[in-house]
Amino acid sequence: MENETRQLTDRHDGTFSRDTLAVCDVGLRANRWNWEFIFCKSDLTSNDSHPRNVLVVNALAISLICLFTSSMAEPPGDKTLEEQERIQRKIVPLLDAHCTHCHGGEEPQAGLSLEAASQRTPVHQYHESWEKILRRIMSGEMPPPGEPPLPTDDRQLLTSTIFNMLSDAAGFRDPGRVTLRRLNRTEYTNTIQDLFGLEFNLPDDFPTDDVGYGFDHIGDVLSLSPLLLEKYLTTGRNIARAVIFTPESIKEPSTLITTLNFEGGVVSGAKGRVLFSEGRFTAEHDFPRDGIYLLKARAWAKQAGPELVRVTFRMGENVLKTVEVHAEPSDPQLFTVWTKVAAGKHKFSVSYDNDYFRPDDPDPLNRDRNLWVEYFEVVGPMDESMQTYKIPESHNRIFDVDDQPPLPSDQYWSRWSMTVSEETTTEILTQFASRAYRRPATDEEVKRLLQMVALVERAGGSFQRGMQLAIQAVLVSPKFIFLGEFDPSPDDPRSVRRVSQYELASRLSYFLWSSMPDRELMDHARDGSLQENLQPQVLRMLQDARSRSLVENFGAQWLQLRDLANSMINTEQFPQFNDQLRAAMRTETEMFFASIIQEDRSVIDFIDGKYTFLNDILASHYGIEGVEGEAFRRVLLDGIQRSGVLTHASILTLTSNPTRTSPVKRGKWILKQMLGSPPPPPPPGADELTEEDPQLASQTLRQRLEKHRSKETCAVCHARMDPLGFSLENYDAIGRWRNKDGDHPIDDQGTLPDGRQFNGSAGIKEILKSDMSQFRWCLAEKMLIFALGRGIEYYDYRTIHEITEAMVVGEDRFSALVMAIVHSHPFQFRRGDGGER
Amino acid sequence: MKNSLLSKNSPEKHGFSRRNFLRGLGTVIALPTLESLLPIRAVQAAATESPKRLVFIFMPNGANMKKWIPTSEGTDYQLSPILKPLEPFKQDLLVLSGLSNMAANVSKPGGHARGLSTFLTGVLARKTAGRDIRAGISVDQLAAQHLGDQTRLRSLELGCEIGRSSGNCDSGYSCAYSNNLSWRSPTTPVPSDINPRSVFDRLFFDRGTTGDEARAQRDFFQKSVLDFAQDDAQQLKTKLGITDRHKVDEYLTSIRDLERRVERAEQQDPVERGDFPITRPRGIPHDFREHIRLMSDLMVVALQGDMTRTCSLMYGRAGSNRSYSFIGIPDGHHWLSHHGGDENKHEKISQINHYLVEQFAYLLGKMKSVREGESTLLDNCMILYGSGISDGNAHNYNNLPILLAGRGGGTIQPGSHIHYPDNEPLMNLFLVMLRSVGIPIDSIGDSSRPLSGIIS
Repeated sequence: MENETRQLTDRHDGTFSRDTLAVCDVGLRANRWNWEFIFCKSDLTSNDSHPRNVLVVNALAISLICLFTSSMAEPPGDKTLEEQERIQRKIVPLLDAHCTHCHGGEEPQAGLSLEAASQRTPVHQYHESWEKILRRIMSGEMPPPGEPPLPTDDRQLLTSTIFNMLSDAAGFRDPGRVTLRRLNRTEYTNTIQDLFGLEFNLPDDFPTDDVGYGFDHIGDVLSLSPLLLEKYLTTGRNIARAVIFTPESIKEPSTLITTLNFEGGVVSGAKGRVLFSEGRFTAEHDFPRDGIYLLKARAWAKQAGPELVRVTFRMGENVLKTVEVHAEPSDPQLFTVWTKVAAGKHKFSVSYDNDYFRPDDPDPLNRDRNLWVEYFEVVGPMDESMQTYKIPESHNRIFDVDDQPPLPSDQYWSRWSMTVSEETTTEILTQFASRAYRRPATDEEVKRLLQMVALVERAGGSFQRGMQLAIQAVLVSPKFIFLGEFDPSPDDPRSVRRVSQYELASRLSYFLWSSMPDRELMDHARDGSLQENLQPQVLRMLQDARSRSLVENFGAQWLQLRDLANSMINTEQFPQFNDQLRAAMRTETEMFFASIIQEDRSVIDFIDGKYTFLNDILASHYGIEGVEGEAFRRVLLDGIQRSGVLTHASILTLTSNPTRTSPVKRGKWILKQMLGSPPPPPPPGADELTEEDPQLASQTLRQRLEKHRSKETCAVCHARMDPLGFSLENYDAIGRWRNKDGDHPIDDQGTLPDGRQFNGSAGIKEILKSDMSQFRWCLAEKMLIFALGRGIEYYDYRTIHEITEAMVVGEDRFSALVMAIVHSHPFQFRRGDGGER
Repeated sequence: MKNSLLSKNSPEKHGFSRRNFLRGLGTVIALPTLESLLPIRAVQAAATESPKRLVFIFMPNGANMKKWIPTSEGTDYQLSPILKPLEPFKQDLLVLSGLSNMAANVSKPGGHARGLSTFLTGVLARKTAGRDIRAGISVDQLAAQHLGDQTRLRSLELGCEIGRSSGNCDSGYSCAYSNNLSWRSPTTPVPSDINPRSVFDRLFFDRGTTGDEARAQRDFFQKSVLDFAQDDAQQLKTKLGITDRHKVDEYLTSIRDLERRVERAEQQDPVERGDFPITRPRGIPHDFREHIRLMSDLMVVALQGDMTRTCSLMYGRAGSNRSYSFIGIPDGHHWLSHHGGDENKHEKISQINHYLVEQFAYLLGKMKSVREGESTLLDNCMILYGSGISDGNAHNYNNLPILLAGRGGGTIQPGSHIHYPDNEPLMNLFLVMLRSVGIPIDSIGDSSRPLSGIIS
């Protein structure tokens, strides 16, 4: 609808293939600045691949007309009147002074009458048209060249009035709403690691997370398929098995007591002995010394009637435990029980307690219930120190209970051998579930986990095996999988509240660490002191090693560093390019990013930081001497033609074609990642720049692209992309410095559409730095999306604006940006759901 | 304990022991004479009528149509250069030219994402990079709704390329559209499993990692965990707003799916413990050909054992930029497909198409070698092979490259090349396929009538 379309008679320069355009946002808000003029639209009914004629219409005009005619029925309420009054008082005088002489009257320019537009309220219904006016002004596109510029004060007043109007369009300041989101692959991995304190590698068959708004953790976009749930189930089980040690896994020393060596029932061939009615299997064993022994029975049952086979373990006449036998004849099961035994000969037994026999049951399979025992096994005496069994550290961490002194090391056995009292079990599970759910677990929740433990014990498993099942249940529960935030009035969009302290702790930790809150955050949350300690906590978190994930998740996605892995450099043409170099490239950019966080540097360093991190491979790639060995170290870049991420080999490579540089891709990358102003995709039927055309072979890439750019349809975008990209022509497709492209000397001069001229990468960086507002806005917007896990809405402009102002005050230090986001309205507040407005 | 457990079950009887299997003898696939190894299903199949199954295979980036479409029509046609590897299966094959999927035909960028998301759904995906993804239910999932209750797995979705996870995937279309072939509902894509090992584990429900616990007991525990999770989800729902409730509903649907599978596993145990018709793969092979073939083998095992009746397989995601350097084509596939009329690129595209068709022929060969009573597995299947776009440069949705192999249990009459007049909906073919497996359905997408000339 908002597309301006033009005469389209040209083939397109395919140097940006559709694949790279995959990363191109054409959403309304992503195109905040000035691109929506140039969408191309073709005849919908035609499906040949030839270029075709299309109309020229003005985007803005059409969209405004559509918007304004579609919903004028709503009667003006109080809010509308108030908005009207505000618009008349604050906005109209400025528009009258600077805009309406063109955009007004009988035949307004571009069909846009601001006199009409400013009448349109309520604002939230017409937010798109207000956003467009805002963008034209903010980008400096309006007033156009040749008209008197808008004085700075007037511009600020105008834009801030519109920001505020949009953010308050609901009648209050709208914090928006983050859709319930599940942990993505990275968050799941980190959370498991922090929850259990172990190294954890996500199985590589976990399904990929879908990406929205440039990031892979957006609640609205992440789905939960049966495949993923199955992975949660099996991975949860494997984790539970790895973190808790069970007596079932103890193999030795042991004595086997087989069919002919125990008594009771009758011999049933190779299957051991069988009891057809109630009775006992009894074995005798000479226990070598006092100690703890594990008794095992391998059993199965033929089930019939309403109950499962029930059996009781006894040492002498002393009942040890009663369990149910699920196992069926083809599928035997081991039952275990711990006991303290004095040295000497003792009898122990398994009794069959609930016989069932109905010979007249019509179902022959449901007539008789019987119990088999194949053999008994005695394991022990146990070594009471833990070394023997390699108990995982995580086991003790789970079983250690706060506010109780840790057990002496010679008593560790009690954690993996005996059943723990219900009180202690409750305590253990309460602590574990509260950490996993990132808020205090309720009594009811813990009670249900206790039932999971009991379930296993009833089925003959050990207490520890029961704990494994409880832990698996927690790891599969939606309370762990989803980052839940619960509103008192979840379906009332007018119900705004500050997020709870626990929610805030999670928001912080998943923003800065992509992981669960640590104990310090949780302690503050519990005491209600997190909000007042926000600043020191954020600074602490940024200094913590876990902030590395901000590099790997925010940084790598913002800079598209993850695409480096898919870069298809032609190794025949670039034999130097291999996976080692590829890895070194990525490391450089990651360490650079990390240094900006760790040293709290200015974000301007992303554009022009005069240092980097190199090892021998990368240094020789750059032609820098004196760096030896594979370890990366900080290198100052005085007198070297590199600074900031733009001249990192990683970025230069991931924006190249397999065989050559692509000024178009590089230009687009700068527009999208640095300026937040991506060009729209090329028109359909767009053509590749043919490499093999003999007529063109003698020309430089620049000549070919310039010829291409002379075509009107392409010119609008390419006039902006190409010069930016050409400024980096001194760096080849894998980021090496060069003075010539083939036989042609490099020409790295350029002119922007507004007439500003520059020379090479240094020139373009100066231009970027001369107007930091666009870069700040871009970075703030992307990081806000990342921090919230949702896309930007019209009511968020004011927040982004406030963040950029805070950045200026904070001298663009990285922590100033993070702090501004953490304090921002949408980070601190949420509201109920109102469906689509 | 594993040892004693094994000795009781005399592995010699089957020639495969669980220990061998546990040692993971590598990714080499042994598909021995399968009747001996798949006792239950194979025997049943001989006794009763074999079930009809549906398979959908997607190849990325369209085809070089000049070398795809055979020059003559009818039963006496010559296979085109690209389709040459299918010569041994010519009598089992239909080459269906001229079919269109015009729902995708919006002249805007994003052709690959649209091509894939429309391919099996017939519904134009909503253009969004973020929230509100929406396409349609795909044919395979529609079939699974009707057939899935009869098998342990409702459906099986396989892939040979990891989904893209950085940036938007195609000109403002969410990655969901270019990563997924199957859609369980208009808003829930079903990701394909790309790891042969995990597919194996799903087929045999973790029998590789049983440990000491009895299966009945383990299944009981797993169901308890699922019950626990389900209760938690129900509890959460009462505290959430409408959008969030949908997210939890998605979770609940998945839980129920798994529960069903556990229950099925109890009722129907096609493989005795420790005996597998296929060696448990190690993981994702580096070699692309081996990857495709492993997936094809697993698919055959699943269909043969009647573990599922609906299967989809993606050779690559939409717009795949895989390098085929192993056949001398180092350039990215997607990059090449934007040939701009360049003959050299056209030729390379043909070679890639030819290579993928070879892999398809491998699958058909496997299926044909599996006997089911008087017929073969191939006879009882309908296997669709094709792409959601025709030419990689133009991204057009008419004259798609489409093949149908198999006889659908006698419902399909293969053996010819049919060229339909332009704009004959692809959905007409799906109508025939679904009706052939007994699903009473009147229309899908833009279908106008059952496709003519293919019903026996």
